[in-house]
Amino acid sequence: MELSRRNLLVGLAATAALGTVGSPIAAMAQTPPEDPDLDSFVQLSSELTGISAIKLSPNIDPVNVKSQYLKKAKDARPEVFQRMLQIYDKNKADPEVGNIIMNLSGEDVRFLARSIILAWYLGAWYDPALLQKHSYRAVDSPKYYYTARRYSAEALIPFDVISPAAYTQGWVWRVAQAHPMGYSELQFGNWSTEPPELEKFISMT
Amino acid sequence: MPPKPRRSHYDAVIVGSGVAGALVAKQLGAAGKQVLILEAGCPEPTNLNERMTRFYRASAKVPESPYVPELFTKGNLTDPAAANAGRPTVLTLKAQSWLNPRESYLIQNGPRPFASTYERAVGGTALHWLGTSLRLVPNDFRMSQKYKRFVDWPITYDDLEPWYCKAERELGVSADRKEQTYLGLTFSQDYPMSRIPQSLIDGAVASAIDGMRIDGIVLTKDSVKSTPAARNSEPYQNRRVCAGNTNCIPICPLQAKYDPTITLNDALATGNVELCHQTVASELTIDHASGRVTDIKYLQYDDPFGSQSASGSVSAKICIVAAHAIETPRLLLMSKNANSTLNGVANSSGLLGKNLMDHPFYVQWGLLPKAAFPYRGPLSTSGIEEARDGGFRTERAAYRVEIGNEGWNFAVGGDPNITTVDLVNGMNNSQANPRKEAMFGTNLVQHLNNLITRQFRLGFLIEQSPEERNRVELSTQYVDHLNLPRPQISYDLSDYTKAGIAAAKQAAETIFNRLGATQFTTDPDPDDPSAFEWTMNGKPERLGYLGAGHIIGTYRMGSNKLNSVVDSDQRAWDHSNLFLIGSGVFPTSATGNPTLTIAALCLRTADKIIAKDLR
Repeated sequence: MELSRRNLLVGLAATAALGTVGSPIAAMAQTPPEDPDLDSFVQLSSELTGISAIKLSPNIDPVNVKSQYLKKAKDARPEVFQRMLQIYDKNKADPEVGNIIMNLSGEDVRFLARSIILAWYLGAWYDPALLQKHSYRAVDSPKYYYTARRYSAEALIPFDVISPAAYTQGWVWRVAQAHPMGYSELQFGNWSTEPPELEKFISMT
Repeated sequence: MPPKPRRSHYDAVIVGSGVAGALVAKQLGAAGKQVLILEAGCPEPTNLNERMTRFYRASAKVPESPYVPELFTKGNLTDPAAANAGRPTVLTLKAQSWLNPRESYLIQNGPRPFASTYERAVGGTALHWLGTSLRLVPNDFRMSQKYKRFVDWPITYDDLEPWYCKAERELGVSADRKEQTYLGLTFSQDYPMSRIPQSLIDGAVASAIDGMRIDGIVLTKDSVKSTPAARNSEPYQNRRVCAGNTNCIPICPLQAKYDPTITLNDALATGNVELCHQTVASELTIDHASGRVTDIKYLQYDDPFGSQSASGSVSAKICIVAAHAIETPRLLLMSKNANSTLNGVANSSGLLGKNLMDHPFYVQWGLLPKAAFPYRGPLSTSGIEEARDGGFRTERAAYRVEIGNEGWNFAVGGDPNITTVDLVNGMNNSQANPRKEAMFGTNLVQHLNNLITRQFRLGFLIEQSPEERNRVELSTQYVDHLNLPRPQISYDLSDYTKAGIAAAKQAAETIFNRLGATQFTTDPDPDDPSAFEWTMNGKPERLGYLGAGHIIGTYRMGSNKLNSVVDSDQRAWDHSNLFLIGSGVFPTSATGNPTLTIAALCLRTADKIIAKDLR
């Protein structure tokens, strides 16, 4: 029986090979033209997530979740997205640029930025409007949180996994010094020893 | 399209392709017997990526998430009345759903929810089992003799011991014999593979409990034992070693953990076994003169939500129903033979469907004082087994302790998402962000790392007493898409079982204190139907439970036809060529996860069938 992860990895290797061969035809077939906002988006994302840009957008990036996240954010709030990028470009030399976006640029920008952070961490899309709504409702924390509320929309914010690949690229797993559940590239018995240091997983900004 | 049976008559027809049916099919097929398996659900996909993709994409990564039929239809929970082979799912257990027949496949009659689920698919429910392969301890087989409680099994540990050895080879169990020699367990053979390494969390618990007393038992650091698991610690049966995907439930991407499709493939490879999927057994026909099952009627469908596409019937020398402890009594109760068996087949005792049990699952969770790095390794690698037996069983249920390696993943309903959203969006669903700070950048990384690497949970599998009022019946009101009556469940906890949950809570709190762990366990919701009140140390406490996925007891084995449905060979007292196999035969629940005992009993039964019935 063919094993799923092996197939996935073979698939990834093949894609990576195509990307590096440099054949213009293969490259055109493989990737649509790069969005001109991609670089800024990655830099901004690094500021928001705390994870270095080279980790978010490695030189060889066959999975390319960054383009999925960029499209998701743009499609969700086109006008707010452009405003956020402009604010970022204008203030990127300022060490307070993250604070400027999260706290000093209005609620539209703040909640879209939170959606983008969650996309990188969880590979999932949380609608900015729902984040906004729940952030205010959270004034009274739900005291009860055992079985019956599980998975219920009243307590949990509904979300969509952006793509199967996005799930496997979620940064929360690396921040936990672990691996995505159901997608381990580690060896037998690794769980009986300490994992490498956090810095090795994420190269903090 | 489901295949049609190639013959009209077989040596054996087996209803259900889960671990029980698959093991018997393989043994009979290897002995040259002609076997047909009827499976209600869908086949395996040709490529397992299909299941992995469905799992990766699922928002709620519940046990059923990789499998079909789909849990959602157009954004809503699938209406079980629309499915040809419906099944209960975790998402239909919440307060708003469990009593709603448009969401819950089981018609829950209360007063409490039956909280375990099962699959109807090629491979059965062990497609998403944890892999825990504990033997029951000798006193589990003699609760009446030893503790004046309930009933004894008609077989002893010693009767079953050689079959446990065979089952451990068949499933491929990794464990250490010396470590497992406790509470009277004996071994005539070693395990086929060495034990699974323990996690750092296991190590932390072991250090903490050294010298601790529960129920008069003094624990040592050796009390945290590596759990026997049908999980490869070496290459075995052409399958790879575990890579610690921390995903045994819902699906191991490597098949490093045993699942019944492995045995099914062996069975089919004998050339003597046929498998008809999407084929729902609907009635067993009895010849009243001989008392034998003559025919098995079935219905077929092409699409899981489409109309019935065919029907038919086959005959066999013997009939084996291996459809788990809810669908098996359902089929027998549906088999009315034009009202000549109005109370169902194999039911002269009146016990069919009664004594439904689970291992009510009690969970506590918190933060360890320092990182122990969860979300690595199998979902659980160790347990504390000493409290599975003792004099206290005259008064209250026993339990076993399962140490989790998956942090708060299921304890809070889907971490790491819950905690991450809390920190990013200034919320406190996890209770771990009480000041409701909204974080970003390096601050977020550090806080999240500090929380998640210290997450910890303990689970307790509680022995449940057999009670006749806990039962499976046929709904008189609700049917599935094939127009077959759906199972109706009545379920409650006895004081014996509740006292076991209370004892588990006490033990958990002691362990947490010794660990220096911070408690995050919350009381059940006000509307949680599993909640009950219990006086502990003079004050009322609210407790609740989850399901363990262990469905037990509805066609118990016993010493005679008045006190049981089947004998110790799993043969129906009323019909000499009918076998009802699986955990439905367990007269008492014990505390060990049931699959290994199911496997041992099934290998023993297959041997008897070959030696006697199909000689």
